[in-house]
Amino acid sequence: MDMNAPLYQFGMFDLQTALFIAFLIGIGFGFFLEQAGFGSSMKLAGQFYFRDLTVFKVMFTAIITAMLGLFWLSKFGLVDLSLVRVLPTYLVPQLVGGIIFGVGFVMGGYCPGTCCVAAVTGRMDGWIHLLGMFAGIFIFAEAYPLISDWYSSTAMGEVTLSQLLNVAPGTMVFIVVVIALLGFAGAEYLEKIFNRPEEPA
Amino acid sequence: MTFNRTMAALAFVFAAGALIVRSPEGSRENDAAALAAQIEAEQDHIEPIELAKLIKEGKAKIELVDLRDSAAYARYHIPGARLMTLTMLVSGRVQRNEDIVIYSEGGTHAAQAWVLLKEKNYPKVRTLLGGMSGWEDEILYPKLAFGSDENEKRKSEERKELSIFFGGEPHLESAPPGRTIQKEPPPKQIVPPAKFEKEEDKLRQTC
Repeated sequence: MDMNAPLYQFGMFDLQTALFIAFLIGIGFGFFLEQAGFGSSMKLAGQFYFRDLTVFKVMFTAIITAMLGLFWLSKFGLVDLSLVRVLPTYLVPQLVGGIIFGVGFVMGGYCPGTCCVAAVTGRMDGWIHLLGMFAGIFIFAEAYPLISDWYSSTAMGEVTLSQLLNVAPGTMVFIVVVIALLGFAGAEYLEKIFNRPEEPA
Repeated sequence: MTFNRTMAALAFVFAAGALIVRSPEGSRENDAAALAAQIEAEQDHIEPIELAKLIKEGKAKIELVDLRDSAAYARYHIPGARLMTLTMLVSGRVQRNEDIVIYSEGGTHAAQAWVLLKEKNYPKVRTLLGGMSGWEDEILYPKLAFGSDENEKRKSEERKELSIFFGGEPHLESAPPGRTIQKEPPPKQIVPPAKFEKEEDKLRQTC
C-alpha cells in the first residue's frame, strides 16, 4: 500500500487549502473545547484544586489517541512518520516558557485555546485573558532581539522521547499509554477525595 | 463496564500491540541495498545543466544547499542556495519532503551528506554532479562546440544563455587554452541571495 499521508506533504492540496482546512479544524477544536465545558475558567481552575481534572484527562486522552493513531497508521503504511514535523526542543527556554504558561493558566484560569473559546462565547474574563495574551506576544516580540541567543540555547534538535531514552517507538507508546491510564485512575481518585462534602462540625 | 473503562481497555490493547510489533523500521541491510540501487540508477545526483534549467525556469521548487565554507559562498554561490554546515543540514534545517540538491566544492561532502540524509529517511535528495567545480565547468565557463548542424548550434546557444544567466562567461572550444576560471565571477544574482541560516529564522509553532 502506498503511503499517502500527511496529505499536505504529499501535495494533495496547496497552502491555501491547507490553511482553510486548518481553519475548519480550529473551529472544530474550539467547538469541542466549549462542549467539554472548557469555556469556563471555574472548571479549568478546578484542576489546580484537584476538584475537577477534566482538562488533564481530555488533554492526555488527545495525546494517546493521536499517538496510537499515528503509530498504527504508520505501521499499516498509511502515514509516513518521517514527514510529520517534529518541533525542535530547546530545553531551558521551553521549560521557562512552560512555567510562564502555567503561571498564566493558574492566574487567569485559561490557556490560549480556551481563552479564545471563553471570549467568543461572551465571557468577559476570556476577553481580559485574550488581551493579556496579546500583550505578552507584543512584549515578547519587542524583547526578542535581547533574548534571541538564549531563546535558541540548549538546542536538542527534533528529538522524540523514544530517541532520547533509546527505546523502540512501540515500547514508548506502551509506556506513555500506561502512564496515561494510571494518571486517569489517579485523577478520578483525587476528584473523589477533594469533592467529598465536608463533615458538619 | 462503563464507556470510559471500555475506551481505556481499548487503548491498553492497542498499546500492548505496539509493544509487540515494535517500530515500523526495516532492516538495515535492506536500507543499504535500497540506497545502492538508487546510486546505480543514478537517482542520487543531478547534472549541472539540468539544475541550471530548473532554476532558470523557476518551475521546480528546489531546496539548494551549499556545504562549502562561508568565504567560498560569499565569493560565489548558485542563486538561491543556503549556506549550511553538514551538522546543520543533518539536524533538521531542511524540511524532509523538500526536493533537496546539495553541493560542495568537488562532491565528497555532498555525497556524504546524501548518505546521512537518506539514513534519516529524506526521500528526495540529490547531489550536484561534480559539485561547484562541475558547475563552473558546465555552466559558468562552458566550452561551446562549433556547431555545424542546427541541433548542435541550438544546444550551444542554450548553454551560452544559461552561462550568461548565471553570471558566467562562455567561450568557444577553439579559443586559446587557459580558461577564465580564475576570474572573479560577476555577482549577478537573479534569484535573491540566501541568508545565513539562523536558528531564530525558523518559525516556531505553538499550541
